[in-house]
Amino acid sequence: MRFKTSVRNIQTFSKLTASLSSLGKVAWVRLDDDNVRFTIIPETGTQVWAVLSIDSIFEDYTIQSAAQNNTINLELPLPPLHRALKSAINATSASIRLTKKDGVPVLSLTIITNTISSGNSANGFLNGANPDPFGDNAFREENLDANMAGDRETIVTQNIPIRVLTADSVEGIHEPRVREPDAHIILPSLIQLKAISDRFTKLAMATTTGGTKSGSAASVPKLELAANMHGSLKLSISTDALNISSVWTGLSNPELDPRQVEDGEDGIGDHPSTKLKAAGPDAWSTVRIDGRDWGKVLSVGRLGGRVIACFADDHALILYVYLSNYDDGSDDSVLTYYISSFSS
Amino acid sequence: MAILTFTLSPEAIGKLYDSLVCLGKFSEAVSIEASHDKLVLTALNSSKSAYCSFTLIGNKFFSKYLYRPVRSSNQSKEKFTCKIYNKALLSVFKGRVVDPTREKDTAVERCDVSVEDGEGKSKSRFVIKMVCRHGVLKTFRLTFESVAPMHALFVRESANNCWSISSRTLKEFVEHFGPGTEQLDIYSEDARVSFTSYTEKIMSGNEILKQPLHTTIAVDTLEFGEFAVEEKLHIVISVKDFKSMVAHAGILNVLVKALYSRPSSPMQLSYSDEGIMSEFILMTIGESRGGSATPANASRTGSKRPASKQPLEATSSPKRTATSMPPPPMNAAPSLNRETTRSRISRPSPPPPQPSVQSQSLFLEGDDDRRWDPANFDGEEEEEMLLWDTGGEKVRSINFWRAHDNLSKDAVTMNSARRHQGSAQQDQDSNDRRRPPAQESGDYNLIPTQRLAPTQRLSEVRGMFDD
Repeated sequence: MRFKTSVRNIQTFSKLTASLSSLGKVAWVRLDDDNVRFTIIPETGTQVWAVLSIDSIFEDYTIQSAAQNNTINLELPLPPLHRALKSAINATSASIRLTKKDGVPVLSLTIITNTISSGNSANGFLNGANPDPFGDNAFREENLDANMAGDRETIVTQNIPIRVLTADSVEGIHEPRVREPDAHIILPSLIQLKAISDRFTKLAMATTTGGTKSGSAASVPKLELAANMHGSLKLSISTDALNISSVWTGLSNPELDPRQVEDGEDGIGDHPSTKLKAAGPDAWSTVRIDGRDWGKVLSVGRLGGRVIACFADDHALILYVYLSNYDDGSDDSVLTYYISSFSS
Repeated sequence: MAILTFTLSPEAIGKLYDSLVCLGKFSEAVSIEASHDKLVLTALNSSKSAYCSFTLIGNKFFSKYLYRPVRSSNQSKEKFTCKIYNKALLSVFKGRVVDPTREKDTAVERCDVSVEDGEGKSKSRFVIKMVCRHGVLKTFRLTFESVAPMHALFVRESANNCWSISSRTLKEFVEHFGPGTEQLDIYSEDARVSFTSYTEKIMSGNEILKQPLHTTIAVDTLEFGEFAVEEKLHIVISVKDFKSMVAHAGILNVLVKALYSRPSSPMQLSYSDEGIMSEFILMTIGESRGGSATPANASRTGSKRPASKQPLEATSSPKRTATSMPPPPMNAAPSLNRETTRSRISRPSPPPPQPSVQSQSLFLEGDDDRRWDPANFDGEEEEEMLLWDTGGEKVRSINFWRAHDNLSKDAVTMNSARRHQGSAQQDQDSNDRRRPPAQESGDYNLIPTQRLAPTQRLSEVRGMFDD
């Protein structure tokens, strides 16, 4: 079993891990010849199923496994991975490899940073402390090996503990199945949505019975998110003391692709969203979600993808986050969020 | 009559505050020792494996400094010593440092400190007067305990290994270290030096994932100002103490100098800034890399050598194994649904690319990645990073002294009569290391509702390394 790759886009990878780790601490990672998948299934709250094209984060990708399609399944803790990637932000290069350390499997992240300076930093400091007595740097003497010093490299190795999972053990993990959605809409700016959602949740918490410190979380009112098939999205929250809502209009409801719908064109005609559209702009599909969980979901906005929300009335909300690819290649990277609706 | 008076400029107040913060990472109490030309602040941790001291030079650090020893019973005391609860001092000096460019009405102009030690006649108090603008005067009277401090001794002559490096560089190194590790190994070979942050805690099964990040930083010796160290020597110190030192040194732009001899002997880290000299003496762990714990009372070297050569005896306490880590909760049985059909949700065909973040955002500008973090609704201070609950933390204490009684007397400067008084207080803050916060997931969202079809949890999956 071998796995080795260079990290092509450290920023993106780091933003991805930051977004994912807000929902769960451990990810199931599936690597194969075609793509890289990250799956987070927390005990409560939103599940994420992310499929990334290899090119979007890696290059010089080598994988070798006895399993079908060269598949390697890993259980990976996200906070250490995110922390490790932090070290790589200003790196010259970074690579990842599956290896063992003291008999324990680890993902080893090797980060190489080249320091470009004309002398060592300690001398640099001393130079600073003893300025040129003539106040004239024009003829400052330099070391013969100054050029060599300019090429110094620092190698940081971050070993992340992992577990390698057998193919059998992950066979039973399935993506949730949700009925056909009633409405689908492209979300407005996520930072706007996040700021308003967080504000609403804070207001609701402040106006519900006294101190909403930890423990009384159950009493926190739920955010109500609704969409119609005429370009509107409504976010609202209500408590005994207040009732606030915010409406976006002029959003777009993307067309369904007949190839992806059962029974093709006929399927679209019978599709719940077609019916909701026919019912007019006052027909809404609504879900109730936990404000804090929603805030964690929206942290995916840092990746800058475009987001389509699919509403299954009173049942679930599914977000598809499409990441723009480097070469605008055919295989898209998509993160799918499954958010369950609370009953009213 | 005050036996000690000194005045601090606003700048010096800031520096004193930084020092107190650093001392606070070692002990709850700060020991103060005043003599005619300097004021020394020290702290020794509860396991006596780390010692931190700041020497403030009387005529350099202070605007005014005067020590007037009391003549009692025909003898004038050379030094005045006391011990103060650090939190009290921190709260006095906290927030007194104001950005000079942003003038505040309450800005502190100077700080006058006087110490009265009446010995029965008048009250013994540590009086701090903050002289602010517009004639505002804030007076703080703190109580103190008359205890002689314990100083760790470091023998420079026996330290054959030496290096120095910019504090800024060290700060960069430390930023790579993740939370939760315990040891720092320093090693050099072929003009490359490596700093490794690791832990010896052995975990198995699911707990393997809770193992902290193992970090190695390999740099060229050219990064160092001077570097004269025995090749292939592993020297191990506590990563927490090292981080505490770097947190302070990193504020300054100074050259940090390290001196040490061999494993189980102390390491000295020192640097100086205008009027203030900082010194840290950290115990190094015996050569136990790779999991073998040093057995208790294994090092008997001290008894064979003259006490003056090897004053700080190190012993490792027997390992406490981490037993209190609970197994992960067992949950519902894995889903029996083994259908391989993928969910048939129609995925709308993606429209032309248009990121959901638009540049004309109403709320925030710039590319601050943190705005994407989930909001903190609890109003509590957020940790830098969520840590795994490590459960029963293995406390690996290394003692400078095996026992108080077989101390070599010249190793420790202390007043024997008051010794127990002092150590008793230090023991109070043992086991004070706070556990990392437990994961906070799942303490809300508890209402049972209709959820998505359950799937198998990752924690129930058996890995190939489980057996």
